[in-house]
Amino acid sequence: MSSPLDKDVYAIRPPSNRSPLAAALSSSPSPSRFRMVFRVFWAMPIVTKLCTFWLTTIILAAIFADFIPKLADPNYQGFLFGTDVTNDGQSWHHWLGTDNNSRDILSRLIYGTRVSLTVAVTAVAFGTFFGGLLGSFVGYVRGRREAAIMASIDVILAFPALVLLLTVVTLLGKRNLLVISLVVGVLAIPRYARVARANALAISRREFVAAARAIGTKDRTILWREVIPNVMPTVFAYALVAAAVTVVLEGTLAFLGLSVQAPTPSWGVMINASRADLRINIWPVIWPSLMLVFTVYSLNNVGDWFRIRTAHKAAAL
Amino acid sequence: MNMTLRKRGTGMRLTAVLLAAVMVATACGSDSDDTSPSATTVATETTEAPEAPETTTAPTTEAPATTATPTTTTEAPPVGPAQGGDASVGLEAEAPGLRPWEDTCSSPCYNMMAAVFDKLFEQYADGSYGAFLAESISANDDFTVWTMNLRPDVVFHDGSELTAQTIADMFVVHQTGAQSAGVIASSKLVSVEATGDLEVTYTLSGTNAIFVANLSRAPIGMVFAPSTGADEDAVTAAANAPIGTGPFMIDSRDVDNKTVMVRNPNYWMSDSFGTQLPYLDSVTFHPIPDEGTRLSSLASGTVTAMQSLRQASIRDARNTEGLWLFEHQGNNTGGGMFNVTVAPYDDVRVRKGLITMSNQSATIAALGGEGISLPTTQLFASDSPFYSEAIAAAYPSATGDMAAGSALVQEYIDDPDRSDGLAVGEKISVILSCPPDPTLIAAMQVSQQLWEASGLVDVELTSYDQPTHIGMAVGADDGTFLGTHDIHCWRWGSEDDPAAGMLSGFGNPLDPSGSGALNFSNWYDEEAYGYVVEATLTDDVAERAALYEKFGLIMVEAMPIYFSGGTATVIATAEGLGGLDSWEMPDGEAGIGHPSAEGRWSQAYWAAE
Amino acid sequence: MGKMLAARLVRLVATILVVSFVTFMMVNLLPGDPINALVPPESQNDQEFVEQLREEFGLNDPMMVRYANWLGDAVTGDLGKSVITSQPVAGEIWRRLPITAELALVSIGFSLFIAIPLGTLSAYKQGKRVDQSISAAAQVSLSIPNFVLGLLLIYVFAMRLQWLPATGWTRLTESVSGNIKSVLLPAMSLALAEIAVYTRVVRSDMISTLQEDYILSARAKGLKDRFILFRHALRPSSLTLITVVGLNVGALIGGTVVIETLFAIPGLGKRLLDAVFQRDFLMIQGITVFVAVVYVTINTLVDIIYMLVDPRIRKKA
Repeated sequence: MSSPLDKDVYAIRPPSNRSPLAAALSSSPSPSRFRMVFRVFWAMPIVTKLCTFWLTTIILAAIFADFIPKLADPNYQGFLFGTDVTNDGQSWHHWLGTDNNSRDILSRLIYGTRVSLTVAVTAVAFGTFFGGLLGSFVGYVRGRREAAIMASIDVILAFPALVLLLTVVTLLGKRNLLVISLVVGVLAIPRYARVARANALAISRREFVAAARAIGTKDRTILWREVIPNVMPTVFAYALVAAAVTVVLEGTLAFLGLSVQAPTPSWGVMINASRADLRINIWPVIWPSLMLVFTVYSLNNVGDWFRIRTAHKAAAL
Repeated sequence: MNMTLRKRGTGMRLTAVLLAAVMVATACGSDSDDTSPSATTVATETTEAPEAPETTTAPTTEAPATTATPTTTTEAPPVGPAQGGDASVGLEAEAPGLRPWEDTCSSPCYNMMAAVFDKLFEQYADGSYGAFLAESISANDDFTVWTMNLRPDVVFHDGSELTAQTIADMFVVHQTGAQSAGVIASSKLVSVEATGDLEVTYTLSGTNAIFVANLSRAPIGMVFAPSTGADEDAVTAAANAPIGTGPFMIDSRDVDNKTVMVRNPNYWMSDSFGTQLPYLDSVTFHPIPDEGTRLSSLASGTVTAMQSLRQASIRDARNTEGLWLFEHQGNNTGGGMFNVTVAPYDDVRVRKGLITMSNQSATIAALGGEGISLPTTQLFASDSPFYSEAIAAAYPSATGDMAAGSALVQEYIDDPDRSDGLAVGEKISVILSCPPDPTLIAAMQVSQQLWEASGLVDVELTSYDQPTHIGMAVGADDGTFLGTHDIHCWRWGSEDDPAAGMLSGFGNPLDPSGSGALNFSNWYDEEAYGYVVEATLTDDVAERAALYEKFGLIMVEAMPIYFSGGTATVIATAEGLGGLDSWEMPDGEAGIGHPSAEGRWSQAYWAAE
Repeated sequence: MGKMLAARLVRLVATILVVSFVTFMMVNLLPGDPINALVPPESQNDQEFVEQLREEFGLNDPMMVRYANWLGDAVTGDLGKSVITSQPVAGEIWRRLPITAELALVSIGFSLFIAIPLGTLSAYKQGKRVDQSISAAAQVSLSIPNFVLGLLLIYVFAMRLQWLPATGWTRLTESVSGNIKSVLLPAMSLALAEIAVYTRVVRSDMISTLQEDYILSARAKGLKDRFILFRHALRPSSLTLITVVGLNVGALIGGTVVIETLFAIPGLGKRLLDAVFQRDFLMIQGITVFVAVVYVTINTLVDIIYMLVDPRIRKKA
């Protein structure tokens, strides 16, 4: 029994017969990988291009933050040593100003990207991997196993996420980035499972699957060779949007005081820590908020674009 | 199927840019200065004595965006305040229940409790104790038997009379109360008998020269109708429907939202002009945990008063127009304690070194308390009779001394017999823990930065929710009560008489009778503790001050605890709502004002314009 | 049909049981116990007294026994007493539910009020500038986390303009105007993201509906566009919307913690947060199970409605 959510309801643009992605990928005989990526990029509308550019920039900045020349230490509190001022405005020294502990905001934003993206990537990877596999399996085999697994997934969905997060974080005492990510990942599994299941249901009815069964291929082989490779693209397409949600979730956790331990910066932690000084200096709250909004927007935008393209690909089957 | 041509991007881009512009414009529309008053360069400043008032200040009207200087002292109008008007107070937190014997209570909750319940004794402006609901009290020579006389003609909100028997019945409830049971034990109270219509006799198991202090505080000093503690159902109901003798009666209680109290028309007390108290017709309490939201509520008129114990909020309140501020900084001070049973904090060089490396002024500045909170050096504020200059001189300076502190820690690191068992030359490893309050986290990071800057210390920061934080310090789980903490954020001091607090706070943690269970730092010195015990045997202030100084001088050499600034508190009210600092005792003398932002709403009034 | 219903109901009950058990287990694993929040340090060294309290609250019994006791009581409606406030858990939930429910419903109502016209307009003018602007705005508003928005709204409307109260809640029974004032800002914080989602959903469904033949024939008949849109096209397009809204209500009942904390609203979410910090076992258990029940029930109802409405799904079982 399919659920109303299994439809691709979030399509922004109407489906077309031939997606630019497919066109891009098939125009020349054997394009190099680089050219393929370039073609995909070129096919995007301007805003999506900008978003991809933004995402790439912040990811690279986060990874290579230690090597950026002249980037201040994110934890250096200069006012203790006479070199900086707390809650300072923008200056040549500090492009975005300083926070209430006189730390450079720009540097903390860049290092904070690590936290937000680690949580997002881990949670999404975990969720897509297990959720996608589970959903594909369930959508293919059906029957009682499907009912049992879907029921357990319903349990996870029914849980108020907060209770699970709070409990796990409190249980561990010290706030571990990895664990937070994994918990968020576990919470995301149901959604991927549902998407994967819907797609697997559709795929399983195709002729090539019936044909494979007819010639006696084992179920397991069909699952791994035919079903999953066709389901995963759609699941991955949801991944970017899910990453956006996860980034916001990390911010929410920080707001409740449950994100990473100080002095590690993250956007949510920065917003929360600077809230007390909102009345005298709004910028330490504005910059991480803008960062959050831009990044989430970019993830949503690019994710949507991919989702529509891969949905076509699946439909073209 | 339609295949419309899509114009690329412009519409989307414009909208996005517009939205962003709106957001930025709203932010820029504020009048936040670039040269905000709390921007500091601490290291180059000398420690100047800030103008922060230490005692209760008169209401002052503040101009926006200037650092406040308290100015005029308004006196009570000669004809006495007029009755009438309502007040609504924003509190830091909700009270889980209004049962003094059972529910935990701190500053916000005391605002509510003091409105519903009267205490037997209260404190004068100078901190000494005076009769309030009681009329008088006297003790025998060795302070083991106390005889108290109650005020006549006092009735509870439900009409029942206050007699000596009431107090005796209260004691029965106290014995099983979550809060009161412990206090009964620590105050050595054994029995309470009604030896007359209005005469009560308290019998103690040992000398307690300052027993009257216990009768000036919840849980055993607040008078409630014993029927509310009679059985389980009554106790459950009493959490939201307390019955006391106080100036206000509970009208309705919507937990976490608001508690409405109305005037008690039969209140026993009148002011020195003969006007029956309270002045206000009603008081409504709103728990608003978020600091910024609480001040916004006051500024926008949603509430007419608010209390705060955060320096940043006081700074913001000073910068807000149209408010009267009742600030107070007393003996309460924040800081941290070392668990001296854990290496490397068991070595005094490490403790002293780390404290000397710290910069108390910088920590205060990071919290936004520049000019608001004063650095502290001991458990008493400089205006307390128990303050000691000698101790202040012995404590490291407020800006710290990195070189001297590093030298001490270096000594420990080079010591082949170092207690943490690491090799000579290896850095020491410390764990600093504070509850997840943003201001405490900010302060923690200052300490971490400074200690790590010396190159000799590895600092790990941890954070646990409040109950767990306290539980770690108490250490009840393993039964030893030694605590499982390393360096723990903590608070000390109050305006109450120090006798009980010092006695229970510095006892021997290894004492099987549990006298040292509340010694969270586990530091114990027999000679020093002897002075503390001696101080409970006399009620002469000068004698006790000398004894506490002797104790303090030993403690400052051992340095088990360090300070990160006095707790500045404020009750901010809408212009016109006053009386919080000038309330009177029944004999007409001035009361202690509003320590720890505990307001006495019974004598608050709206000043005539 | 009846068989499917019964199966659904069985699944519902099973899910709730599993959720309650898992919650119970998790909460028990939390370090520390309510004694720390209930008893001041001064009294904790009185071993007898502490033991007595533990006995009273049944903290010493083995977990399965406590779970069984709790379950037995819960079925009759007795969810126990809060350790901290000693008030009945069920009573507290009952008192706070209207507040959280009102917040959720007002925010949904508000968003529907805006989203349905916007989505319809978008679909009607598909591909044109209006459509693109709305889609872009939707994406941006989707990217703003609700707590950031809440902070912004408080800053603008309560601090600067002082039009609305920053905090507190006036119950509907006390004052309607007061209630409206206190619900506006928090509901708007929640509504923005919902508007984005609902707009897309309506738009997507509406686009497919508008391509149907009966719309063409209605147009050919000469009926006005607006009439067609709202009389003929809206109803069939709202199916997915109903599903999404239904799921959203369930999610909101447990997910308003941040907004409630920020605006000092005495709702269920805030109570749950406090309960976890205080280790108020029975309150955590009670609220979690309640939220799960609400979510799963709504989920089931939505599925049933969908089953009834769409005959294709009925056949598939």
